[in-house]
Amino acid sequence: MSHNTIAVNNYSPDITSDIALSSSVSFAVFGKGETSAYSNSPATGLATNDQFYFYDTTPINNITGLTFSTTNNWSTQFTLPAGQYIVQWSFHLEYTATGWYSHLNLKQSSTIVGTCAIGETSDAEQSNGWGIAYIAPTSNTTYDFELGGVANIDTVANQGTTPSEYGAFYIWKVAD
Amino acid sequence: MSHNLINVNSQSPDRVGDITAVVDPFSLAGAVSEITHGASSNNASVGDYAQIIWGAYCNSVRVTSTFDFKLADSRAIKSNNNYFMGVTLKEVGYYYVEAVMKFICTGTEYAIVQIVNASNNAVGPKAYYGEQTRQTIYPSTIHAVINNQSVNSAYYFRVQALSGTVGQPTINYGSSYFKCIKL
Repeated sequence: MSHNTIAVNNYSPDITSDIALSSSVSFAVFGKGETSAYSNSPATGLATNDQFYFYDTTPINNITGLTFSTTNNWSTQFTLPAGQYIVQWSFHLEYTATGWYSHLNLKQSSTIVGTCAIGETSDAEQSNGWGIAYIAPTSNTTYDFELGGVANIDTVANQGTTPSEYGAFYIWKVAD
Repeated sequence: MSHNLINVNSQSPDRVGDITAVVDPFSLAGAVSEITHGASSNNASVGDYAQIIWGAYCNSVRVTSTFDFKLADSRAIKSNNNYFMGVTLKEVGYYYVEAVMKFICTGTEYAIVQIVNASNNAVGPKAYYGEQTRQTIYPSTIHAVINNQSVNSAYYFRVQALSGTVGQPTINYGSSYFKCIKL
């Protein structure tokens, strides 16, 4: 019997010589509904190509090599090492009038690698601002979130705590 | 040779002693479930926990030993035995919870839902259902990574604010599901 004589990834066989091997996923979380006025962020505007910021006082990061860049607990960008990842994000904004609309793009430099939409126009159809993207950087690569297609979005000062309370993004490492 | 001497996840070695073990990094549970609506008299109110009745598709749910669906919670404020959505996390550690829901809506209403712990403290971002100028409320995704720090802790989908007469979560528009992943 192999009981007490062998292990796989530090998992030992049980009394029937079966090793219950498990695994865990590396992940990172930024945003969990905390409250802070968007005017506390580095944002200066909410127009197309303006950066969007998420808020978290205690983000989770157990992806080796991932770094969050922050200003006053607002994420400005993140850098991932080589690997394969799924990124998910959600957001919400205050608006000024019917027909409001915005994308939120995940961008690598000027390249959009994923997007989602929120708003009231027929393009948005009340979609929920929930984005998912697969990315596979081959070396350390920096990403940020930027708005696009903006229409009738309120000012930074008038956003209140909506971006911090609704905004979050997750990063799942799915392969090396 | 290790043939027949050892197994990994119940997989035995082949003739050369190699074990092809399947290790699922996502302990996926509750991948697909149905969210249905109850009686029309049970519209949502501020402070309600989102009411979800798990239907026939529950047979396909992969429930692991690490969590339980929270049904018919004693804190339900409605009186007609509708179920209130929640989850009990049995183990310490991180869990990812995600659900797509749509609320019944006939006019200019919206609801805001958030996952909270047993003390009503938020553990994830808010999700917004509907918009005052729209006639219907479309499906929306609610989600959170929960750092569960004690065994058998309960978490709930709670209506944090609403406008107008917002009805039950409904399967209409499809894509309604709930999943809970032990990370």
